[in-house]
Amino acid sequence: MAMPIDEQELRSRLAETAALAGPPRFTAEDLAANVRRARRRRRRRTGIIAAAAVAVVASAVAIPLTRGGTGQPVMSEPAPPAPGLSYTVTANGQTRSVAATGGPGLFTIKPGQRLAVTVVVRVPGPEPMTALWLGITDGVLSGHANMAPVLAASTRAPLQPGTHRFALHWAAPAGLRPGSSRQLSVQWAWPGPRPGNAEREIAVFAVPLPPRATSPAAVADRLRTMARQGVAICGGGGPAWIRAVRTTFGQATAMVGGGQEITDKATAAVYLVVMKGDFILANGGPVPSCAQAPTGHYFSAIVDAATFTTLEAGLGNRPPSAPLQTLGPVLNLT
Amino acid sequence: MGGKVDDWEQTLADLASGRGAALKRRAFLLCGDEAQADDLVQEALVRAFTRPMRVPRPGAAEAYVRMIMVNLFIDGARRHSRWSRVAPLLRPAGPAPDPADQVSDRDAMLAALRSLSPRQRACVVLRYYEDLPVAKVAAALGVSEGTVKRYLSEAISHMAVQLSAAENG
Repeated sequence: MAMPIDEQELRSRLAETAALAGPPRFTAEDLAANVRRARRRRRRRTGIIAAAAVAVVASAVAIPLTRGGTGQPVMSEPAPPAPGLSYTVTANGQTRSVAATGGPGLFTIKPGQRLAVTVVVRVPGPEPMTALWLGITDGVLSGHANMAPVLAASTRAPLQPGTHRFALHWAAPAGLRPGSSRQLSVQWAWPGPRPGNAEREIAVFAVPLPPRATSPAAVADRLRTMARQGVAICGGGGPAWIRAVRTTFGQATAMVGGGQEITDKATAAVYLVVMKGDFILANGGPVPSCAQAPTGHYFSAIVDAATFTTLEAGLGNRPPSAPLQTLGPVLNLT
Repeated sequence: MGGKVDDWEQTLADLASGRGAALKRRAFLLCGDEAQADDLVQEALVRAFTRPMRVPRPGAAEAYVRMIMVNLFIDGARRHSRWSRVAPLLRPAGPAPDPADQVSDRDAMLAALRSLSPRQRACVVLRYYEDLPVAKVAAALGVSEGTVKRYLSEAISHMAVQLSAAENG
């Protein structure tokens, strides 16, 4: 028969157990570097999605995942530069060249479309690559194990310097919504005294938005919905007002802040949405209590005008630095 | 974006240096593993600061990070199963054995915590380590107060059995 645990004793034993934890192994500098890297990855994803309509593809770089086959994504130590492989991707009868440090090629597709894709990989040398995977990703690069599906794998023999051709077949999901995309990604591994592996996106298969999605009523509806989903409202009731204005990314960030990490989209067309009320950020998952998360009276979001992807969102207690009408005609979404 | 985004580095540095140890102790109770606790705190901090947002004061930022930590921990079961296949290659599982006798009690407590489900463990840590009222635990986990009470009851019963077994040899 087990003895019941007294709550006070439980508190005391938990505190003792917690004290077993050693000092943190991370430093503020490491964390800041990881945040910057995560912001770059996020910027690249939003840039890629926006490309579906505006044909502006954010620059992409290979992301070293691990070194020597060990480590974890956020935790990994600075890895050596990844060998720069370049690619030629052909799909739908269109060909895109993808440089080692360039952005992925953009292809517009239809939901459910069956694609025959040819990828020519150029291994620069002098070292061969020990493995290479090609597969489909959904906005997140986290190793070939999370490609769905893996379309090709070269793991049995080293991939020697030179060109290698892969013929791939993939059926886009029938439920892929307009404005969304999937990516053809590659992960490759290299040998040597500092072995490692990296991955990147080399093509974006995007479903374009239909023309009716950009009618004024549809725009207002989308923006209203996005604003309401971006926050949780404290104390019941709704927002006092929701307003939006069409402008450029640069002007929007000048008015409400942010955007320091996204310098290549200053002239991109966006909607700046501002909502007033008592809010907390709803960052996905369970909605926290108002006492536990940052709160604010003004929620602002910068939304790509072509794809309605949220590029920036934030919460504060001050209104924008100038009236929205200084940027253009204001849409009242309340 | 709704705040001084360029302050995020300072806020992050303040959190990491001033509250990093406390965050890690909390994560350690959740994970039961030193290395995983470090990873959990780092991942929560990185996620909290990746999206530009206003963090009005360090206390609120810490609360936000704590909330993310719990959500990451509960959502992390699938990730953990994936990485646990790699973990044996990286480092020995669990904390290094401590020769001091008094540590055995704490090891028993750690083992009892590890035997709980992630949600039960989160409830125990939030309720009895952080002294949050049941209503706030429920809000943090996105479940009803009744569910929290049930988790706590089951967890305490289970831990009592585990601790008794450890004490009896």
